Amino acid sequence: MSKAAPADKQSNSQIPIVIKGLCKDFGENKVLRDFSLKLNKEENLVVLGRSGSGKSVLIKCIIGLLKPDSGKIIVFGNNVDLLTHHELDMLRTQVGFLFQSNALYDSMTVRENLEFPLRRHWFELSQQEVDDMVMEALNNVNLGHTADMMPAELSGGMAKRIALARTMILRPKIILYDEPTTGLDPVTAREIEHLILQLHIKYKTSSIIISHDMNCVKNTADRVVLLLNGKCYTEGTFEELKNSEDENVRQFFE
Amino acid sequence: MGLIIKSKYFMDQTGQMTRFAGHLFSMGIKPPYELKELLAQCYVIGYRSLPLVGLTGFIMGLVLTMQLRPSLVYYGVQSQLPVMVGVAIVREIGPVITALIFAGKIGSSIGAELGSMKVTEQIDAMEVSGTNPYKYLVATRVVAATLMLPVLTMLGDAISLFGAYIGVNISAVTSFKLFFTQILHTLQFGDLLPAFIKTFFFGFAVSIIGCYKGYNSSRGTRGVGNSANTAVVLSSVLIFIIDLLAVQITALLGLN
Repeated sequence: MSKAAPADKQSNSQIPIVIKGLCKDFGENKVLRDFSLKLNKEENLVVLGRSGSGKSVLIKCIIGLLKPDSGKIIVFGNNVDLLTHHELDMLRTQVGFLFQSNALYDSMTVRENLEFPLRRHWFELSQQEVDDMVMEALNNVNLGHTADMMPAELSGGMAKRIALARTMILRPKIILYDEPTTGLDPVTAREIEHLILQLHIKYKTSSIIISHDMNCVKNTADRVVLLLNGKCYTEGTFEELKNSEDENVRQFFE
Repeated sequence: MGLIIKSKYFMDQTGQMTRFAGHLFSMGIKPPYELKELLAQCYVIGYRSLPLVGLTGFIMGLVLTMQLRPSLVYYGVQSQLPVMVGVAIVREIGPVITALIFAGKIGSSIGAELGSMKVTEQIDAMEVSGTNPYKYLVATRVVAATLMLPVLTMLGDAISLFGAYIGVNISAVTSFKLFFTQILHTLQFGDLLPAFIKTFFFGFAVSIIGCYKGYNSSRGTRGVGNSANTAVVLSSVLIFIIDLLAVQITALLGLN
């Protein structure tokens, strides 16, 4: 079995995510350099950084969409890089991913979008149970009436909420949010932040939120990590970072 | 220098495409199988292509007969018209034209659909939801196309021969029975089998190129357009290359 070493696994199996010395290059562009991070249970961790600093690359490495050049990513005690296809698919059912672009399947209705992960993994569910879960997920984001709509008929905010409902439908223990409020008007952005917190409390999830929307960071973060030059430059609560004297930190709050 | 770079690019692309196709045999044969999606793709790729294949086949048979007739009349062998048309359609024109129509309709559609899914991160979304997108999107389409093109070709050939019968009857009267008896008496095993077998390869080539181009799409909507376009161009060229190889192999096997 290609997983983490037993000792490693035992110590880390309760910790949602541990990243050690992660490096990722794209040709000459060194995006992540010896990046390390730990996500605690039921914690909302915001990764802050400038555009192109490697925030999205980081969460794509965590979910296995990108392969790191070196370093370890351990999710619930499993070294992601060493998992087989099947093991990775199973792990992914415990890790939700909200794409910046929403990535709704545009040839399926909202209902089919939400049913898709259920049908792939929870074969034993009856049609009634599937319908109930879909409606519960939609009601969680206050969009129960959109079940039979196509993604093209949804507004940006609605599409984001549907994407969030789809992310949550398998009841993941970890959620990775890729800039959840980018491109939304301030009111809708606040609604999404509210939903993130609401779902976090309801399902007791641990989350990594990629953002450079300071309102989103302020409202959702238990802890903030600043990604700079491919490394974890500093970390702390929102208030700690806001009051920092460091020039690199201050520029995000001005 | 430009030629070397182009050759390197060509070799690189060929290698990557071969690896991509190789995944089909390494991943596609392992369970779980996507039977529901495979049936859905058979419906889309096969059944929904039938009107186009039928229409083009009918016109092809009709036009071919009308074009051939004057030459045969000139040499006084117009009685051989059904035989000539029949052999030409079944052995060569039917499979190749159907495959080219198929490449235009299905190759471009697969390239554009997967390309669009790629650039809008839908393929990534599928992957992170724990579904293997290669099996779900690629394997089902390739298997469906490989199985459906031979069926479409057979139906297209039949409709094309009916078109030829209409064509023959425009200038002279020939009975339906006589027309088809003449054709069926002339056609042999060596005419039918190679023509049938090569359509599996045509179907595989069209779909795997469409999938490869779509799956590796980049650079936004222009990339999607390019994927659809190159999928059709490459599959059309490959259809002729496969056809050429098939003719050589049949000749070597003495089936000509």
